Amino acid sequence: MKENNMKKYMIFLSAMVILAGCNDDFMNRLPKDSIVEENFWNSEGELNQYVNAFYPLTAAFAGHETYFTLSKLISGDLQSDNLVPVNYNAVAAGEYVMPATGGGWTWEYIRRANYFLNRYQKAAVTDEIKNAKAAEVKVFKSLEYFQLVKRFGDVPWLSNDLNTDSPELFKPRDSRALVMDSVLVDLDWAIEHLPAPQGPAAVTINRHVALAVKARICLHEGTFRKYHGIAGSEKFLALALEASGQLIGAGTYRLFTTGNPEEDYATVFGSLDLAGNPEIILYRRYEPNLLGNGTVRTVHDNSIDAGASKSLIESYLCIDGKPIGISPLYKGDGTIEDELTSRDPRLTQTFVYPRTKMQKGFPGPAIPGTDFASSSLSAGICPTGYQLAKYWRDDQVEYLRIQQGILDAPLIRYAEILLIHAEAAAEMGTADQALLDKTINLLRARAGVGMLLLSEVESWQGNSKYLSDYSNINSALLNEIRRERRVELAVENFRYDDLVRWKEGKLLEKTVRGMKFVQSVYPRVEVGKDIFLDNEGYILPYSKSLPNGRVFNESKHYLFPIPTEELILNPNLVQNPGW
Amino acid sequence: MKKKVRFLTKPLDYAYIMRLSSVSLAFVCIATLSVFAVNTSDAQKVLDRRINVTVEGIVLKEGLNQIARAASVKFSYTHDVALSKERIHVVARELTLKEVLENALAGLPFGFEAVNDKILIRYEPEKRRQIRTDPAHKVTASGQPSAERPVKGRVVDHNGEVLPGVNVQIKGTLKGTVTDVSGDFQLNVPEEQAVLVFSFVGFEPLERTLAGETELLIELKAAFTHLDEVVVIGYGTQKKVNLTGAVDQVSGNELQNRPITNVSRGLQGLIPNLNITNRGGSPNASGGLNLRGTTSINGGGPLVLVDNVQMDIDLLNPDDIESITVLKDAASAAIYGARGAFGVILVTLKQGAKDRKPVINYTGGMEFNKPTYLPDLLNSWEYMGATNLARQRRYGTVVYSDEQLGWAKAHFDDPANNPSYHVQPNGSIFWHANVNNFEELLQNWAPAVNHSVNINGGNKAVSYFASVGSRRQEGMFRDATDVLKRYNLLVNISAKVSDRLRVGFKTAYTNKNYNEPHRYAGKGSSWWEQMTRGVPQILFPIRTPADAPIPDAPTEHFYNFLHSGSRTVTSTEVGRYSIDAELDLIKGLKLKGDFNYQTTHVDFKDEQKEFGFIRDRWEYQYNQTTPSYIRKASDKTDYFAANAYLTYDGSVKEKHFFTGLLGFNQEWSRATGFNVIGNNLVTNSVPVLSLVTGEVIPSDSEQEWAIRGLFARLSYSYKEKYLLELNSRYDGTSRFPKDRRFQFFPSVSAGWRISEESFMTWSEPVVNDLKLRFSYGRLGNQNLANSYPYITRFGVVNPVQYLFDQGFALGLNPPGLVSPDLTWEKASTTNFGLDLVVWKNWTIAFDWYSRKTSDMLVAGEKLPAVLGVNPPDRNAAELKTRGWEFSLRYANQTNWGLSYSVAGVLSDYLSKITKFDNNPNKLWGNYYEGQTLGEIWGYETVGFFQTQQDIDNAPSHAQIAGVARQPGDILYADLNNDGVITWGDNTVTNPGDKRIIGNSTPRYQFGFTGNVSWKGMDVRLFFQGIGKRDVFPKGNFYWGQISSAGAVGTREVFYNSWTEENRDAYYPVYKQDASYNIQEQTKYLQSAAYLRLKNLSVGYTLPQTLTQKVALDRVRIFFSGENLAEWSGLRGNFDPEVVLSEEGQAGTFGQFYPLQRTLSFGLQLSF
Repeated sequence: MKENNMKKYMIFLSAMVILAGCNDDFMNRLPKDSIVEENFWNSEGELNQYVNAFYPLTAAFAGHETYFTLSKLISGDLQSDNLVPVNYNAVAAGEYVMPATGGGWTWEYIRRANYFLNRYQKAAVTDEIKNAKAAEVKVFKSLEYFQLVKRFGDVPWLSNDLNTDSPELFKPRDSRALVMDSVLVDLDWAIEHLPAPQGPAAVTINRHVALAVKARICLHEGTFRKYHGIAGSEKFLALALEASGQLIGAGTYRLFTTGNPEEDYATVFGSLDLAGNPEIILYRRYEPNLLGNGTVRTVHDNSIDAGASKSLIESYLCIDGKPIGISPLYKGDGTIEDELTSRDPRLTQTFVYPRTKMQKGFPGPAIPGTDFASSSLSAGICPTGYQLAKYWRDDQVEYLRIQQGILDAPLIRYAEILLIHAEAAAEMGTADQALLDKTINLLRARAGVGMLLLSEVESWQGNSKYLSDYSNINSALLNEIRRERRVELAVENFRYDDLVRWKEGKLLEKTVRGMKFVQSVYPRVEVGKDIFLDNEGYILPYSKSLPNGRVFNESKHYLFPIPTEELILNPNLVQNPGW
Repeated sequence: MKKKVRFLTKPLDYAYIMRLSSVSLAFVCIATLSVFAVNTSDAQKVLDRRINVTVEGIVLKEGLNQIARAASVKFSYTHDVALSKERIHVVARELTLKEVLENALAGLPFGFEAVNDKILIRYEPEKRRQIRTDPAHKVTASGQPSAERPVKGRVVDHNGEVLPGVNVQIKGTLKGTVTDVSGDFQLNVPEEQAVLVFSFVGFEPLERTLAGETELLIELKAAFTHLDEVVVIGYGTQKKVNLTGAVDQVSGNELQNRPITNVSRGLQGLIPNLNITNRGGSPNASGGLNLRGTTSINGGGPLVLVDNVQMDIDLLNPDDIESITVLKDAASAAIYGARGAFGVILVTLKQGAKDRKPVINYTGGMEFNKPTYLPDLLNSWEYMGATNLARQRRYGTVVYSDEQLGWAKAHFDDPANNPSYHVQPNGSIFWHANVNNFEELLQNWAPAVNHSVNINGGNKAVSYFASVGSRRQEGMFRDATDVLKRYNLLVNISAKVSDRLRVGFKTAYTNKNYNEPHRYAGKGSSWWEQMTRGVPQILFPIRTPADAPIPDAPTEHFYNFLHSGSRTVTSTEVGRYSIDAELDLIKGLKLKGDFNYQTTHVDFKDEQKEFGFIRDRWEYQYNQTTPSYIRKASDKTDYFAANAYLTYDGSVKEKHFFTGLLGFNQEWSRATGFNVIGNNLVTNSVPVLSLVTGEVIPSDSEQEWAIRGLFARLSYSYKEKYLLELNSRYDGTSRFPKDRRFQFFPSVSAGWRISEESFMTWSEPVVNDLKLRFSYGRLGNQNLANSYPYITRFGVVNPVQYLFDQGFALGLNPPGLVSPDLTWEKASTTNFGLDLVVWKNWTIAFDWYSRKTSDMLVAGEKLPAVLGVNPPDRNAAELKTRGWEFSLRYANQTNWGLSYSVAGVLSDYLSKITKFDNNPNKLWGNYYEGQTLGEIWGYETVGFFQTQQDIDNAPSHAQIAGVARQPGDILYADLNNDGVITWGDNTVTNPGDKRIIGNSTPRYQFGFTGNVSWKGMDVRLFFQGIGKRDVFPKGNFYWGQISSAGAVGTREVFYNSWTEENRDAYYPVYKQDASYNIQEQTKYLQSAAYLRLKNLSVGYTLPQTLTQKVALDRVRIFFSGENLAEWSGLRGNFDPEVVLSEEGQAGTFGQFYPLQRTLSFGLQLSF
């Protein structure tokens, strides 16, 4: 009996071991809840989903990352001569420190694009569909390269997604010319393969968006080369003119206007729904309970802790279309109220006229030491007195949504296209009155400012009261076109790039000033403690923190440094000059 | 019963219904278990009947009949019994039937067994054979007994506690008995001079010559050296003297009666180089387990097996643990192959005792918890003044006007008559209340209640252990606090099915529920971090004042977010079902097997309710509370483990001893989960997914892994003098591709018991045992977090944070990269050990080891950023950890009954990177070759700039921060004399002016235990600490505004910072955003060395004479305190043990759940 039992046990055991041992599937476990390379690239849906992920990431849509974060949207103004943050900006002050890693040297989205571009052909869908998706990706790639080139100049051009053994990892930088030509090729291909939009105000990339991107990039590259002495500027200026011309000719877009110059400009930036807005080429949507931003609140509370520079305020024309030095309407800057009177209506749609808008009923602008200055949240300090109003709307409901606000964000405006067209033509010397009338003067008309007349402008050149901001040009027309651009696109992240491409970095060294301070208006403010003034009574926001002023080194600061660690990892990379 | 309930609840005093009901639940359980116990031991009960009978030398059958009548039971017997001519002789007065039969049949070839209510007498020829070889028994066996007399007695230990289960034997005979549960025995001894031998595990054997006494009180002396102690090892047990690897074992007693939330915390300081990291004091926090220092760059801790199956040790009820064994070196752990690379912890749960009357034990306690340390934060006006000062120094401006400061001071001094807010001209409210968050939010003593009941017993065939335990612990908050509840159930049954086969069944169930306040994004995300914020946490009152436009409404103060009613509940259920069997094949050869199924179910529910609060306007705001949502997640893991193995035990000529083991193991696990978020609750009161109006976003997951291995052990011992052991495992894992899936991991260990050598006889009076050990082994590590490390997957973004024409959409991220030659990480350990017992009472052990972890999967080989993705993991690094551990134990007892013991453990380790290809330039942001782990790079502090002239004369500090320095800022030393202070290339070769200034590895970790007991009193003291450790303080709590504008900070830093008047201050000038002054540097490097009174327990066992009157065998009351006191040089009011939130990283001081001091009062009952 017991012998038998024993045998039974042994047989049972062996059977178990054998059964387990034979089953090879037991050790083969594959992911069941995610997509792997082998089962991808089949359908149109897969391509769409891949491309979707680009939208919130692309740094080229500056300030429009996960949320419509104002501080990012305005970073190009904060580090320029437009906006003055309470704590000075390290880039604008020439105090940017070379980082060990990061510092804008990011290649994640280039890889993301190349990964797609090397594989999308596998998908079993029509060429039309997959090429349209590839074209979208190429626009993202172009925008990303545009960022890199603006920041670093020469950068390696990559047309494949790399692996750990790719020789491209250690390649030296490619010339700016090669990179930008490659970007152009990509953009032209994209423009060819993208569908045309049904109408204005798209939320995704279409042919017109690509054209606008091309115009923007070409103007930047054309002027950059011209003023920094690099060959090939004419080609890019011509392409900028052509691309903007195509958009103008397409007739899809026009400036938004209701015939009310006091409000129309502001309405574009204070709109809860930009769908169908004729001025919008591309925008970002926000909807209740889905995606939100805190823009209106941020502006209302002045949480950006910055104000406009005197220099920006002064560049606004008077309502007659003449600069403040020339116009008889200018009332001087004895008080801030005087200063803002009879000016280009865009001025008070961009910055607060005291005691109007969100300041209704309050004594004055938010400068340090005034009652208004510190809310209990110790934010809201306006160091110059000129408080931001753009992106604000008079809407308590939106204000109370806080971070869940639904203000839509314009990403590419038709106004920029008009400015590109005018500037490119002027740089090429082909801007005539007709061209100005269908570009700059459309902007002036919407704003209710006197027209730009070629004949008149040329006469200012010799007027001692006419001040040109720019040292590198000797053309009043170009000066006025740049003025128009600075004013129209104020606080839209363009100013720093503009100074760089015009080679006007020295403008950053001009003493940063705020409004003229009137003690009787601000009885609580203690000069020498709360604020500091220059001899003429203008506020000097940085007299304490930057006693020696801001520094701009012409031979160094037009480009950013490559992070030190990258130079060690790839000995073929050479640091930008001066760093 | 009723009386007892009242007695128990009295110290609780808190009339929490929860607690009362859990007490009654415990008693219901006792009752149930008692019934259960009685039912299963009918047979036992029969044998326990006490009878009076006199049988004087009559024939067996007749004699048995007489006994049967006296006991009113039926005997059934075989033919052999009826025909036997043997005569029996027994005189019994109040003896149990069992004892009567044992005496009557002693020396006869018959045995007995109770079957249900009958007694079976059967023929057992082996018994006679034994007896025949024993000449002393001839008299009895011949049926002509010499005169005998009954002797009875009781065996106790030095405390007077009774000892059940002690062997009592008449010397030179096989005749004997065992003491019962009251420590009593009764035995018939021959009239002539007899010697009784008492023996019991853990006590020194005692011989007692009888000189006519009939009643004895025997006191056994505890044995202070455990040469015959048996230690649990992988798939078996081993006598401690025969161990060749580095193995330590602690008894479950070390954990019991201590107010520890979980087992891992309780193990701290008990075993040298079992390093426990406390990660804060949340009731739900588990201690990090580590054996012998840094294991791998990728982390990796010891494998924890509870009765052979992997399990979270913190889900156990400490009272259920019999022992915990730690296998430290590769040779001991080798049998666990690919999972044991970094040591193995074997937890053995309690089992039933054989042949024993059921014993019921109850342990219960009430605990009170209080944070060990809280930072001494600035109050409202101090904070506002500090803010102004800090801002003015940095930016030249102030934040608060003098008037505002005045309002705050007035309210602070006289809150009743001064408002806590002012409305500013622009309509915004300026709050200037003063909330001391620690006082307002924390309860003084957070209570916890513990109950544990078990029953333990068995007969010859079946033994059982069953327990239920419950614990309820409250967190630190006064209201709406987090609460942990844990319930444990364990049933462990072992049955001898036949002579050859034993089968065991085990069910273990744990239910843990942690219910905490929901963490609103940006508000409650870290409660402890929030407390560093001046606005709104200090300046906002909790509710608006009664006379405000919106009276008594919640403000933005985070108290209101904690108390919003939104909760996050995690409940974990683990069910374990096991069968094991053991079959004797032939002599010495056994086949063992077990099959285990463990199901883990984690249910998660997180709700965010919308509510309005007042911030800076008189209107309700909802921003951080919207959208309301409900998130539910459910994860289920099925885990199967099967083991089958043959063991062999044999010897040749009593000189050569062999054991062998050959086995097969396979395990597989499948985890599936769902996670659904529904936005916009229809109503706050019913937060369910079916009642939402917003988006519903589901996600799910499914993962599997499997391992399979063959293992073998061969050990050989020559006269227990020369010991050799070979362990190996051939292991495979699903985590690697097919062609690289299996690996062979061998190990060898040897021991030499020098004290057994003849040439050592001279040392015998001193040296009782001396053993040298050596081991070497190599193990693989497959415990990677990722189940599919060799497969790249697309990432899913759901939804993409961008609104397309159709709304939200799904997005896909491209897959990352995988190294093509991915393979096993390996760990090999060399170990030298020494075990020594001297002067009987001193036990000493020392081990030195060196562990090399090679082929470490390195996360992120540094490659140029143009790669555009994280570089893939590669097996590219090697780490060497060297360390040692020492333990010492001394135990003794005085003649007057005081017994005492002291034990100390001390250990140390240090790890070095010996190979790291991916960082040839030795950037210190990454690992680099030659790096000692834990090292802190920093500047050398010269002191403060006292004057502008100092600044002008000093080397430029601009690279650290391009900010003009002011007096009171830190002057760093120009170590490389280049005239500027820099960090060079951030490399070891060009560190600029940085150097290694310290090391955060905890060195010389120690534990020190003292036990004293005397006459029912027992006292235990347990100290624990770290001998050396550097930390660099970081974070808002410590540095306040220097670290971050708006942080409250401590008085420690604010009042000890540099000013014109206080130029010798310790801290730099207090100003905002001056992180350049608080770079890692020599001056502010702190020592986190500490000595902590981890536990103090005092217990008193009531005299049995007293307790037996109420039918209790044992009553012990105790007090136990945890983390009672500490000594440390750490500055500021921070707990030295948990200054680092992450291991090896200088963490943010104080920004986590504080560790707690615990006072516990408890009661233990046995009956």
